[in-house]
Amino acid sequence: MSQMRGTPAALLLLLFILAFLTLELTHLLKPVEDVVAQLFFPLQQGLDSLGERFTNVGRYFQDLETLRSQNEELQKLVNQLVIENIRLREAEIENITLRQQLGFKEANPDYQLVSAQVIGRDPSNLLEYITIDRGSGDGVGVGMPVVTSQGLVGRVVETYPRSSRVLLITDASSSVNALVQNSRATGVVQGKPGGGVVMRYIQQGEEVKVGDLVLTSGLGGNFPRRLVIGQVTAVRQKDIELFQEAEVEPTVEFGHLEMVMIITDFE
Amino acid sequence: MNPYAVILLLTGAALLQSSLLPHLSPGGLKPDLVVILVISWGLLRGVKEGLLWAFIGGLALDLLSTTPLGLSTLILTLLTFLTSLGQKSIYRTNILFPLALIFLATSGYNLALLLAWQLLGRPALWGETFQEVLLPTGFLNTLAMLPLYPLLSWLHRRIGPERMEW
Repeated sequence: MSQMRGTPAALLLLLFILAFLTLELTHLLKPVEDVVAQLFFPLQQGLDSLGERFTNVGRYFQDLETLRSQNEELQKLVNQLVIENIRLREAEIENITLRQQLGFKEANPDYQLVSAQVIGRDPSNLLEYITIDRGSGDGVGVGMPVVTSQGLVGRVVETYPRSSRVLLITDASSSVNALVQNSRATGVVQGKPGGGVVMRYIQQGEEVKVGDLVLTSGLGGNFPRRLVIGQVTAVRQKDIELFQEAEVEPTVEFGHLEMVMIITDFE
Repeated sequence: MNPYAVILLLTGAALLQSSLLPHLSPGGLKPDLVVILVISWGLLRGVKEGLLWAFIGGLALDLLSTTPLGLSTLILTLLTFLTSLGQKSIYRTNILFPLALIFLATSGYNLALLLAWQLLGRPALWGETFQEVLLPTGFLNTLAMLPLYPLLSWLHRRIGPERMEW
């Protein structure tokens, strides 16, 4: 019974659809369609834009997560590069120092040299000593001169199996026989408190000028001849005194000493 | 404070003074870190702990220095004994007194060293040394005391009453 009751409704619906199709095929529904489209267009547009925004918000959170992980990775990379950069810079500085040392070695083929790194300084401000990482086990002995490519540093005063102590020429107890390059005037270079050096016992009448180079004279046999000590910055000469004095600026930068060479043998 | 910790602390300070500080300090001068720590601790804790610190600190300095072994230890122990004797609460509350005392104490330490070396045959150029080293070092030590003393005071309060056990 119920099937019989639904039949007219289905037939009516079928007729309605067929009528619609006929109207559509004959384009008679076009004005209605246009009106509907006009009505739906802003709604569609708005909803589409809203959908797009929702998609963008989702994408934003997705991107945020990606960016965060990318940022972390990039930060790690930056850290690695900074460390690598520091290492390369250090290697570059070491390379320059080693090249200078090599240059010094080539210029002085008679010297037997041992390279060493400065590992410490005397804890007292009153003493000018450094500790180096080469000792008696490396052939280093007491009294051996210590140099850099810039000039004379000092001499070894104590040795241990794997390290040594070096008395710098700037220490008040250090004395080095020296001569002025231009005039060949001789004297003794002594250290003074605060880290400078002064050339004493220069005979009156000897010509010493500002800018003159001061070298080791080799007298006494403790140091090889012609090692650069420094440059004259001032001359003190009084007729009533027996000797002249010259302030000397050392060519070695004692504040930045990192690598030195020990002359283990020289002629 | 545990003496083993004191050994670690003062040896570390001596190593710092001889290796890192010369690179950071102006004009190559470095503060007498170990002397500052020892004198300050003596002021805060009294003679007994001060002397232990002085012995360990002095020995650490002697081992890293070219001076005869025991010289710094002797001078620092004597100096700490003298400065710790007057340990009073005034030291702890007013920063100015320890600041002035550290200037005098570190200068006294360096003067005593200079005198001892002269007696041992090392040339001592008193005038130049005073001007170029002693005076600037005294000021540098006083400056270094500014952050160090509050730090040690805090440590002193945290540790509590004097107690030493090996």
